Amino acid sequence: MSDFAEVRGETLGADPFAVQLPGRPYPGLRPFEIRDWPIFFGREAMTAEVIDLLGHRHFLVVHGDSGCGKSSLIRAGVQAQLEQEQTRSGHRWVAVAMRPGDSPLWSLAEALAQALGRGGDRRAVRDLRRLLNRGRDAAGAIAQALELASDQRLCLLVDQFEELFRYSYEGGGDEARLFTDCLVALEGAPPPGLYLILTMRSEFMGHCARYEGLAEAVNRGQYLLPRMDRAALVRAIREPAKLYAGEVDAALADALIADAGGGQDQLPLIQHGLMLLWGRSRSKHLGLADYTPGTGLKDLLSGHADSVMRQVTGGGDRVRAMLVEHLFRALTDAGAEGQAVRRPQTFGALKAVTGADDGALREVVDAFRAEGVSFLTPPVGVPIKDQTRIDIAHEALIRCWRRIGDPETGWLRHEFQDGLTWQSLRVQAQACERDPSQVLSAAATLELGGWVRALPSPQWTERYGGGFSEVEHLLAASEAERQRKLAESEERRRLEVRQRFLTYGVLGVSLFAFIAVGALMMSWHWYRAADAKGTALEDEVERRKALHAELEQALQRSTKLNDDLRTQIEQTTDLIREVNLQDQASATAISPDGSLVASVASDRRLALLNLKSGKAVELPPACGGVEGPELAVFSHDGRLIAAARDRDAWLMDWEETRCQGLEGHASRIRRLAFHPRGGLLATGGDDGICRVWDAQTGELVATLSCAVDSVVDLAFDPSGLRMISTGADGEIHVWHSPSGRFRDDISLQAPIDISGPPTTPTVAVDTAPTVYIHIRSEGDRLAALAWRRLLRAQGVTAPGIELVGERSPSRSELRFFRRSEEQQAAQLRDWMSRAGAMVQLKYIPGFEESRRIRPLQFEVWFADDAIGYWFPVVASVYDREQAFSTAKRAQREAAERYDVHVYAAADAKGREVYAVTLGGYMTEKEARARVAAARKGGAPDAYAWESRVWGENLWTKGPGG
Amino acid sequence: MGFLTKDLPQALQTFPIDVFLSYSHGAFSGKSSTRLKAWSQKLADDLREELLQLDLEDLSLFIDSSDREDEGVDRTARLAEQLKDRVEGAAVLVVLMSAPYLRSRWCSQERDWWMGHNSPDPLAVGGRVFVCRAQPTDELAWPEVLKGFFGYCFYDKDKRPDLARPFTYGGATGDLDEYLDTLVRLAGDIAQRLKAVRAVLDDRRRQWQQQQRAAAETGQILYLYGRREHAPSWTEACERLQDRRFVINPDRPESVSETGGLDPESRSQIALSDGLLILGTPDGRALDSDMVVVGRSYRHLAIASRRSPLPCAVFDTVGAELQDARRRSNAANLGIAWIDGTRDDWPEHITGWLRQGVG
Repeated sequence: MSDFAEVRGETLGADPFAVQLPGRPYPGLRPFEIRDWPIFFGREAMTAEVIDLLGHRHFLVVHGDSGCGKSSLIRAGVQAQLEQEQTRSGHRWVAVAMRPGDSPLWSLAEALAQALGRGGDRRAVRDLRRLLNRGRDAAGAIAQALELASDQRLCLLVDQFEELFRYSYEGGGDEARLFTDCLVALEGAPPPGLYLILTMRSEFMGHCARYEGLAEAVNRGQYLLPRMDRAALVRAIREPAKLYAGEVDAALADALIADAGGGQDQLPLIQHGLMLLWGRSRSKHLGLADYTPGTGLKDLLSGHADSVMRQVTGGGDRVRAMLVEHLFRALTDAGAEGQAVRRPQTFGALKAVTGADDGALREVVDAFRAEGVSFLTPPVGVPIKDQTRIDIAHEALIRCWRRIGDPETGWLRHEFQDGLTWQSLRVQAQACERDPSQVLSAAATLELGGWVRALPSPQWTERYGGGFSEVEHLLAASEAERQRKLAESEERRRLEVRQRFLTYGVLGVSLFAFIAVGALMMSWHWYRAADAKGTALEDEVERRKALHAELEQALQRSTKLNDDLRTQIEQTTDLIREVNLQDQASATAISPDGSLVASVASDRRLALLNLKSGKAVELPPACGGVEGPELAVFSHDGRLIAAARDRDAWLMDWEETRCQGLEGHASRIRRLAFHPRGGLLATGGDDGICRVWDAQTGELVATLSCAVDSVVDLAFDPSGLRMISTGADGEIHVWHSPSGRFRDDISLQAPIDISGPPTTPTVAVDTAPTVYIHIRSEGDRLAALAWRRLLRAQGVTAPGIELVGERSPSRSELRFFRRSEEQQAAQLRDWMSRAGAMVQLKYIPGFEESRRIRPLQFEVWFADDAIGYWFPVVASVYDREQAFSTAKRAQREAAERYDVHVYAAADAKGREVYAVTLGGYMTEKEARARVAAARKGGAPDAYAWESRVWGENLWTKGPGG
Repeated sequence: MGFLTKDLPQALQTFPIDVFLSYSHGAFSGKSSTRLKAWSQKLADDLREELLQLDLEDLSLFIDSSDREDEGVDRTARLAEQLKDRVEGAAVLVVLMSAPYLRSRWCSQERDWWMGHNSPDPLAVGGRVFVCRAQPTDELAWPEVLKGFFGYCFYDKDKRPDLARPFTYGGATGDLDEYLDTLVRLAGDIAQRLKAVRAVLDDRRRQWQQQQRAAAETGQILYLYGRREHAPSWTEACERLQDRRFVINPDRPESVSETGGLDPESRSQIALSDGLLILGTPDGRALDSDMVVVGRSYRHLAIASRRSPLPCAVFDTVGAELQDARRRSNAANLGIAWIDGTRDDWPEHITGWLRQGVG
């Protein structure tokens, strides 16, 4: 149950006709509160329209852009005036405001309880909550519970209604539905005397249609907030000062309007500028002399925020400065469209995230919400408890304060980058849990270890999926490994020194022996010449000779051993390559760690082979009979194998020797794909149906109509929230499950139709080269697959993907083995860089004559952290149609199907920019390159583009999507 | 503001010229200057035609066709002075951007004159400069004040820069469609801006007229708000005001509606009045709420719709008893004046209040 921080009474107090002027005529960035009604000017016509609409129907949705002043209009305009008018005509007035927050129904119950004068009474709240369980039938019961007398009026404001959609997305779907049912019920049969007002951002209007009856209710009563015209702005500027015996000159008003521009921040920038100018002026008569036109209200705002920061940090307190940074980072976010948005947090949560003590954080928050500052809400005077929501007063602050919004160095950017770093660490930590050898390299351990220690608190990581202890474990393991390697290399160095010493020693001894022998021989000759005696010396020479021969033999044995080992390694590598070569053709699969291969044995049955021991692994008896499988695939943890033949599929846990048949497909199965987090298996086949199975129980979780004809490819995206299916007719379907469980929350994203002639240019190399792809860890396989498919589409033979672990280079390389092939390698490298991967050429000597290296054989070695974000980019264009036709061509061109993603971004003028990629993400470098290229072609807004490219939720869009 | 009508009050100032077209008569590359001049004049004519189709009353477009000193011909100081007035008196400046324009001292002076009186924009309308690209130019060499204008391109961007000529240059007809398309776009944008300018000027004029009316001794329309239950007081006050030759609206006191607000008829009548009086009777509680609802909410609604101030006062028929400190402070905080109708000099107070209220 909520602590009801989201609910509060909102009335003018005992006497609604007492006119109490607020402390100053301009509130600054914060929204107007109900008590600010005397200084609220310029929106009278809108207020009257809303009140008239409410009088007609007692239910109204007021919507508009983010930060356009909905809340101010409703509070200082509509609610204040409604209360005054209703009181004037002899009614008793009660008004309660709530936000859906994290417990919409409990908050609604509490709001109703407050209306009854029983706020905070647990029992009363619970009874009301019980009534709300009736959903569509709740109206009568609520009316009965409220028992509004004929002279009573109740205004219920559901502010920021869009929070409900987030709540639903995060798993509160049922409660959200019940909540909207209650609202729809109240709209249909409103208890007499009840006014229900919802405010929401217009971009969420479409979400209302997801709830039965809600769209209809909204259609019957909605009000889109218009922009203020010039005359209204002038009044908003000039009228408040008059009440304080001051004045704002018309010329200054004009200059402020001109400087603020017509954008979404116009009103907040003017309000902030006025608050500042008013505070500075002694005479309270503001004219052009108080303001230099053209100064830029944005600069004024940014400078003011800087000065508050200086005040908080006393000029140089670095700890305090970090606290301010972490506070604002926690309070900002990138929205679904990539734009900067507010991210309200409770004070308690902020304490946990910033790791600051109560007093220090309170001091900082108070400084930023002080009278005459108003950068944070609630405004000064409202006591802050742990559950109080702290919010940035207006998004204009995020956009205008350079410390937050600067696209290169802003805190928002820092936060985003840190978030990415954490997520990649988490992935690595998960890999390490599965396979303890998957630790960080020594350099990464040092750097990331320091980075993690500098995090404000472990709770910070919760924003990015948590996993602090796992990452700590990874770092500890990596550190241990680093230490071990250090010790090892120290030991090696020591041994080398010893070896060298021994070698030189032996050489020295041999030399000495040789000289000695020579000397002795000569002496012997002399001796024999002089006196043929001394057989003891002869014996000694023989013994030495024997020793020498023995040493030589040992050396030869050792060399042979080395050669054997090398051959063995080469053979194994070749074997793996060969096996990989087959995986495109038959049911052959290699486990993610490369230790097992599943394939068809000579008896046409599925067999499992341990590559390390070279021995067969026994399969579950039930599965041992799987005959002639056409497909096989390992789960990401390597524990499960799925196989299929014709319309039958099997799931087996080879460790626990469990096996299960999956029945359902009406015709031949074409594809099998495991969910990245395991737990789910997707199958698709000629019946055009995709089926999602619970990988543990074999239960059929979902049946999806994926294609008209047959399903030829299936894949989950790395986040596990989407599944992509490709039909033989070229249709791509993107299935979205917000929970990643693919149970009852699957929705179909817009399909991409594939048709049209193939025109993608091919790699300009005369004869088809062969390229082996090498990756560091299993996490890179998906991206590597995308590359392999793209290479194959270019006519390049790309047989397999090798896992090389620590051997991966620090910078990605394209390796070639013959000087004569350097030009072709360079062509390939250039092509790869055009497609999105920065690889450097590297010549590997010693293979010029080698027969093991075929002509035009190259190797791509991806650096350890690179490929995960290097999905090939096919095109970056401004035209939507062109983007999708390119996507279609790319699809058509490839010999195999792959996942084509179309990213959308908006430039400063609102134009759409598209990037077509194979697979999921881009590196920062890549995005920058795109931005630079796009700038040359017509100056889009770099920031908007970048943030949309990098955001997690910017995955893919289809036409009309 | 440096309009030609310098001696008039600000509210009556206007722009004698709607559009001033600034261009260079110079040749593109040493050839005859007549072609560019002819093209520019034709553009001005065509632009005028387009704008005239958009129902802009009394449209005036000025293009300087006189010859110029730095372009080979002497120009008298008198001519320059006249031109300066024309430039300063233009609501919108259209620049024909070309290499000769960038070189021309005259054009630079014209630009300075215009900017000198319009930057910062005294009307807060913004965007009153339009750049038409007659030929490719180096944007880095553009004057600072013009940088950042994307402009309207009157040549083929795909041509080699040294070969690109304005559409329809020298009477060519092959690119007439491109020429007209760009022209239509330009005319639409200019018309939009001219209308915004005129709206601001109209507002100012209306306010000025309001002030003039308020400044008269008598004869203004006053809206006297009173409640039906206070009908005798209302009738008496109405008669006293009418005796002083004020026109009084409405014709009877009103009852408080079920919702507590005012009906549309009352709202529109308030908006048409020169002043709003709220009747002060011994019922202080009623006055308190009337001041807030009628004197604040509905008065400002009227102000928003008529776009000019509306003075408001309490017409006190009781005297000291009604005027406690709290109520007077409330009135002050609502911007409502207080006229003590029990004093003999109340008529002078009304006149002063009306003058002050719209000042």
